[in-house]
Amino acid sequence: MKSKKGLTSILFAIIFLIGSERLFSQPNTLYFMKGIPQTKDVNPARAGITDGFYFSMPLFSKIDLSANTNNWSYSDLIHRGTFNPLSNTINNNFQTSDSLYIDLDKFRSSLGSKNFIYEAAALTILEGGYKKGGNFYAVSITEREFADLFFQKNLINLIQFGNYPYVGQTFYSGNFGFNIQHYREFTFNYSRDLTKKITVGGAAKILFGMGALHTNGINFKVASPVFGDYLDVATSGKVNISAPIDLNYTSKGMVTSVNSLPNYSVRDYLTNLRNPGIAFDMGFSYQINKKTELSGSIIDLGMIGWHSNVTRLSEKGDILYRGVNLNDPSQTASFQFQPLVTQIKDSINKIFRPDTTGTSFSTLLPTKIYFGIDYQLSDVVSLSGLGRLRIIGNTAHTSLTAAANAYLFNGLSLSASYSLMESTFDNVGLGIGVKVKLVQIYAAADNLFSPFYPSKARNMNLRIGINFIFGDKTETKTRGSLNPNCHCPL
Amino acid sequence: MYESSYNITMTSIRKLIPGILIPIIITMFFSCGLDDFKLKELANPIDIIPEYYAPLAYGTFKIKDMITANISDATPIPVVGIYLDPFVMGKTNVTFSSVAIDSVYLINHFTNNTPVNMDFSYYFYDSSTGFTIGKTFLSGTIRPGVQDTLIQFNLGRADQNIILQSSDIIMRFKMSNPGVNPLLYSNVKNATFSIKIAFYSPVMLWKLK
Repeated sequence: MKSKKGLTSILFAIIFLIGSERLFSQPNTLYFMKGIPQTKDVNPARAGITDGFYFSMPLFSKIDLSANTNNWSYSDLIHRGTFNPLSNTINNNFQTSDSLYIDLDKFRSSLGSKNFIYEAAALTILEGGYKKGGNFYAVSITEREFADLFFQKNLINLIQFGNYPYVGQTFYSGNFGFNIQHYREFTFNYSRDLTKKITVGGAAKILFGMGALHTNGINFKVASPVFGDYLDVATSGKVNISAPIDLNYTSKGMVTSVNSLPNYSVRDYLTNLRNPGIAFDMGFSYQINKKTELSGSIIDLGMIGWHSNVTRLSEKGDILYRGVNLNDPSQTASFQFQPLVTQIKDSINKIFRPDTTGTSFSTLLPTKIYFGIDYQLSDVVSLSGLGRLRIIGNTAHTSLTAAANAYLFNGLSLSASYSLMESTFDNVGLGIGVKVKLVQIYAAADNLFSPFYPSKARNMNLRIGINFIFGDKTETKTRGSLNPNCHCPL
Repeated sequence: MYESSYNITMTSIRKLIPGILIPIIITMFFSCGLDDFKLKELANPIDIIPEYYAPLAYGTFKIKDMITANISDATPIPVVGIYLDPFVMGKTNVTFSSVAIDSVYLINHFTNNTPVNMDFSYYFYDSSTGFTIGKTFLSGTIRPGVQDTLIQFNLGRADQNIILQSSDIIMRFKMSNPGVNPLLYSNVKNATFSIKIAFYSPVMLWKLK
């Protein structure tokens, strides 16, 4: 009865958290947690249970939420303050603040040369697994979505200062764009203890893309000589879309509006099987000695082919704009601006008209590579270190995590972590898993404090899940003794 | 023995975790700063004033092409000067004004490859009344041989309104003897001068609504 009450409280807390907009992957903290079957998600060789089977709460097996930037935050761009008209600056003193301001000076100073904001969410609808002897099997169905917006600092400079400061030089915007993908993932996990020291695991993922918008190499440059005689504007880039939308164009090929496809229902969207993909996870763990384990994994090595409702826009244009040539009309002495303005508009439209095709395209998944070491300090406590390389587009993002992990009282899994992520140093994380009888509830986050100050947060992530674990003899088999081949509770 | 201590501990944990979690969550909900997300309180970004630049026009002119009147080659160029034919730029249906622009800077780069002093002016003409309106913008004297000299005019809000009312923008060139030696029309008629006209303007983005 008491345990039911405790579970209700925890469930209430979790639902309360999910209901908020403040929690925002797969935390590194999860990697070394003990007794959680979902550690296989970050390393398929780490099954999390020693025996028996489990399934997760249908429709709510686990939820992953994450958002992060390269060390800039919302409050760098928008914050409270008082405008000082004398210095033309915004006083950042919260005490005297009276309004919200867009502070491009502060925003630019917080940016690197290349910048991004990344967001991902996943909901596992159904998951189950079984471990017998050295073999572990698991299956799951997950809805995944991720989006990233990327830009270079130069673009912000142009927005803030205009093109006048660049007269006499060449302005490069650098690549910028936006990607978003939604897909369904059917995962089949298998891991095997090859020897007492080595476990290998893998996962095959069959993917079905629901919708995608993918930009590639969008950039422009504006060059002008010292006296600004002309502006040489060149643009290039590609936009690939697979979504139930209809683009409308002018007779000159410019996109004028976007409408949803008529007679295309939510059901049509969610049951779309025309965008198949495949991905693999691979992992290993190696027990160097009784106390030390090395492990590594590659997660989401794969791609999706997009074939349904495809629109591909490709742009490569260049215009040398010198203004109006006064010489010719001077001979007639009746110069009119209007025809020339129209002529210039037409030539710009003609040059900056994207080519449109409906051929298929493919996108890669954001691949993650983990490498970890776990040192067993005592029967219940281990210390670990984890490096993660996440590859999004053509850019690699690294993070390093140190964690202390414990498995107590045959039901309580705890991890405390500290991470360096994308040049941020304030990531103190916590993982907690509580198993009462058959029910296990777990949660992990790499930055505990982000939800308290979301506008200042640079990294936010949370994993929450509920499992029902049957027949796991972990407690009685291995309590108080080190099982050298176990990536699960001691 | 072990089981009973385990049960006691688990009971404590069951009480402890909600006891810790719930106050933390409540604290989070009532203390964390969501103030910065109240975008309705966003002030106008009055400090964000980008400056945009674009070339407007260019041309190289031979003096004789700018004079339609018959002038004999032996005509001396006076020190007070001779006006060349005005250059009339009809602006019907073309608007230059924006509420987000308080000032427009008209940038002229003038190259004088003639042996005479040159100057030019802009003024605005309203064909409905037949009068010039607003003020005239004068370049001042540009000495012979000067290359790409910068002459900048500031067109304020009032000037922009004048342009808006006008039907034509008139640019007029004048040549004059520098005053050292006598100069005849034959000495200057095939000489050329050129002008490149551009503008830059600070744009108050917050007014673009």
